[in-house]
Amino acid sequence: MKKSWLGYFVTASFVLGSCVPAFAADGAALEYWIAGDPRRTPAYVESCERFTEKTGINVNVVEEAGDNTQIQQKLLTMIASGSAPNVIQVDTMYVADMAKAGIITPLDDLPGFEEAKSGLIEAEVLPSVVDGKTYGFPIRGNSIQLIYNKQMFRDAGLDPEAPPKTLDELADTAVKLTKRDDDGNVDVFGFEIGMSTDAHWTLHAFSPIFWGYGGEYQLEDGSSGFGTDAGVQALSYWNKLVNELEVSPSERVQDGFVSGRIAMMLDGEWNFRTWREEYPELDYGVTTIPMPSEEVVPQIPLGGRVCVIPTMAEDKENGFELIKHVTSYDEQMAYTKDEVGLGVRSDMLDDSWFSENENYRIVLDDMKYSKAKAATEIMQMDTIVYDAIQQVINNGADPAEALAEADVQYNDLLASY
Amino acid sequence: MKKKTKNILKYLAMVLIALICIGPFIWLLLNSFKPLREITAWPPTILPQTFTFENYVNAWNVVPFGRYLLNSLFTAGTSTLAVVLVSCLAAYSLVVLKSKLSSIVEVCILVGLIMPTQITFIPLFKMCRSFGIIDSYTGLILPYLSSAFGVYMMSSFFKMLPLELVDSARIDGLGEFGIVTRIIMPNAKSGIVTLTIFNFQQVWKDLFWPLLLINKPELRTVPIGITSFLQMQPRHQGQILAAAIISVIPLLIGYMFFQKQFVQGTSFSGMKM
Amino acid sequence: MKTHKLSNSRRKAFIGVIFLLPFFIHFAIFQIYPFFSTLATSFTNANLMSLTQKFVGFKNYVSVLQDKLFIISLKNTFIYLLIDGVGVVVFGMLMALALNKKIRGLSFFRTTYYIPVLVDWTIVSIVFLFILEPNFGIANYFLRELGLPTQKFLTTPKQALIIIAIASVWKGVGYYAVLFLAALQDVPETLKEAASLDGAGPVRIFFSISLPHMMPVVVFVVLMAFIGSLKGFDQFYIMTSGGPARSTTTIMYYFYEVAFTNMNTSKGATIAILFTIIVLAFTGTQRLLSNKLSGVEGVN
Repeated sequence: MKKSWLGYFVTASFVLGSCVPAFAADGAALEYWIAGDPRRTPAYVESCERFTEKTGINVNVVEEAGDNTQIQQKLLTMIASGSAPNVIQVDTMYVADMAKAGIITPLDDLPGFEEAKSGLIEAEVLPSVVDGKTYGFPIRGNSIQLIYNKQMFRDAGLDPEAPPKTLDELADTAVKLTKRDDDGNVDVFGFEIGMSTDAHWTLHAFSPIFWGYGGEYQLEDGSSGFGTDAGVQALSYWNKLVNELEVSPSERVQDGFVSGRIAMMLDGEWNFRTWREEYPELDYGVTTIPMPSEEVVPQIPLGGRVCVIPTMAEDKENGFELIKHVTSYDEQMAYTKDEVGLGVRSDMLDDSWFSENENYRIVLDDMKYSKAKAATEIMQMDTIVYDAIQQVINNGADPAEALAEADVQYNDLLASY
Repeated sequence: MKKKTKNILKYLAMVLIALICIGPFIWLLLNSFKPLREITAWPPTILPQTFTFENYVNAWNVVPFGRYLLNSLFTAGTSTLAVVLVSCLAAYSLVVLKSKLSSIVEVCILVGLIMPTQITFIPLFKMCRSFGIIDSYTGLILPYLSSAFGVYMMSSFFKMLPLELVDSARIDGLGEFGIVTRIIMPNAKSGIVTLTIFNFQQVWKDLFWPLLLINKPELRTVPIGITSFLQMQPRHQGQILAAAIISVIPLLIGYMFFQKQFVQGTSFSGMKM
Repeated sequence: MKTHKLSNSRRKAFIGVIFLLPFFIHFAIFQIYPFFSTLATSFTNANLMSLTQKFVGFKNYVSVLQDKLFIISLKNTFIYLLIDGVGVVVFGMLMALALNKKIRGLSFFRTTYYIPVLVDWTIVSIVFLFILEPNFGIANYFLRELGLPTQKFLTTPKQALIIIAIASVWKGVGYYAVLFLAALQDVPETLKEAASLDGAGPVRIFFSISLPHMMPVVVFVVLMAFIGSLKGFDQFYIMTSGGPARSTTTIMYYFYEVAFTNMNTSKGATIAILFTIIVLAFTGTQRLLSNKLSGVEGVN
């Protein structure tokens, strides 16, 4: 019995071993890590094939699985143990910290830098600039918008072409769109504030309102800025929607929007393709996130991926050639049309494709409002503020007190930094 | 008559527990056959109104599950084989032979049981890099080849075996290795099967190590496949559910197969003679 | 046994070492070395984001022990341990007793009871999140249909930890049942029959025959159950990410957050070391207690 099992596994190991294709035959191939999901990968692989055709340089595309933290962890572990791919896509929020730590290299002195940079939307490049040096080029960007169900607007007697523009209007509209059953249980939430179990996403949804009230993560002297009036106003606004008016859930509802349980929410372009394919009858509108008043210029947290070159990587010139290729007009348009992530070039707006795809046009246009989620130790800052938000929304704490506590913690962290 | 009602009650209780155990999965299974819009429908439907295999077909197409299943089977199978053998030898030494190393190993086992595995990954990764076994089956399997839990568990089982077995085997002229493989192991079949199931499952479900070590898609394991679905934006609930079912089925079949062995193993056990 | 200790003892000791070596060598390389490397890290300011590190003495230990979140996570871990650790042992034993009968369909029940154990936490979490969705999950749907008040489940600090603990009992109980079952089946039938003939009822037989006979396994299982709860991580990671309002932040989750999300390797290492010390103290106490209890161990 035991022996036959052993035999089986030895045989299996040979069979499996021989099925593993060798790495691209010549060692000269660039290794390019993409933050993967199976739906996006083919588009990036095709893009690299075009690069190889053009330059004769082979590219080995590695699709990374896992969530943001896991990918980042893997990357840093590799670097810590002395190896690194040539080009990596990392989440925008990590770039500044990685640059400060000296893990990634500035691109400024590489050939063709200025020209390549000039085509990209400035706000999208900004988070990768540290001490005047540019450490990465964005490959896809996103900003979040107010997305609303037009049919529900009509059913409630509202004009679907006049979505709310201020936070007060947003609250009023949310009240009108909320439906309850006879026992008072909510059947449809008017608005979803966007709080979820993910601290970083929660801060993503919280930031535009916080910024709208004039808040900043860090004050001019570098200390925590959450306990300010802006912070208290923003958090009180959220608290009002969830606990007082009861027009928003305290946690995101999976597929809530498409199933008609959420009338308005903050979300991004990454949904559009699935909605078109799976819910063709869904009639939704996309608009810029409402601000405290119409005079306030919106500031929307920028998300997306940035291509960077690790300090340790070999052959940086060719790595940069690849970055220039993937951020070129043709490639950026190709990604956009494949709906694997919106391109980040300012010259794309004139492309005729956008006049046929209005929602994407709005998103691309909104990128001018992009603001980097940048702060010292941003990841921990997110968690600290998230704790305060949860204390208020889920545990009945006072916004001013909870945020003052967050200030203490964040300042402690900054002091130890 | 009284015994009959008692029996019926007993059955009812057992069926109820069974329902509690698998109820959530039945709900999962039912939903995996619904199209996405029905999964998200409100009010929810219990049975699929439109029955479809779409989620399965798509999940299978998005991720090469066949390959991932083979990789997981191979990794978990090979390491479990090693763990069983290594654990039995060590446990025999601890329980019967006793040597100078015993007390050190006992402390090791305790530490091994307690230490969170996650903390070992960074040093482990560095080590695998210097061995040059990143992105290979060797690297994938190597850290799993022994288990403190396994030694501890086999020791507990061996402690229950009558030592006369060992004595009479020695009189028959069997060497110590022969005693372990031909006398002790067959007599501790229930323990071995239990360890096999536990260890197999442990390695099968591990996500973090393969995630860290493996770059090549051909070497990925099932949990990484599931993660791919959780990563997709937006999530496709239907495909996630289908992928979940796909990943469970091999374990389920394996367990049912071993369970038979498990029952036989104990009833043929030499201790009952 | 006694007779053998005298004869051949040197040869036996030698073979004893040889048999331990495969385990010991592997363990030394893959566990002990990383453990000491972690211990060393806990005295530095290592951070995954920086490539250099320096010695800082006990600074990390001081900062962790003063950390409010560390104290909260200790408290949560302890509550969770009480519900989950005790729950799986008690229900696991009951389940094993139920399964240790010769009845029709036994194999079906055994398989069924073990399914939650087989299925990974990732999937179990997906299922639970799906069912317990606070507004539109099937659980609240039924509550609404029955006219009962809906529950917030995992989204309120009042319920989240308890629900995860109950889910863990549900998921883990089959595992411990299998261990108990294996031990129960090794209790000689003849002993039980003899006791039965003497007029002992099933409860009496269990406590005076089966349980003492199973003692080594019981001690082992209780230890495993408690260590298992202390090390629980996936459920918290996937279901609640330690929230809401930190109500499900356990030590292992906190360790992960510090070491991996915040990438503070040295503070993470410190938490891991402190955690190991706590568990060691815990198991030490438990061993002392069980040594007193298992004067019965020599039944064979």
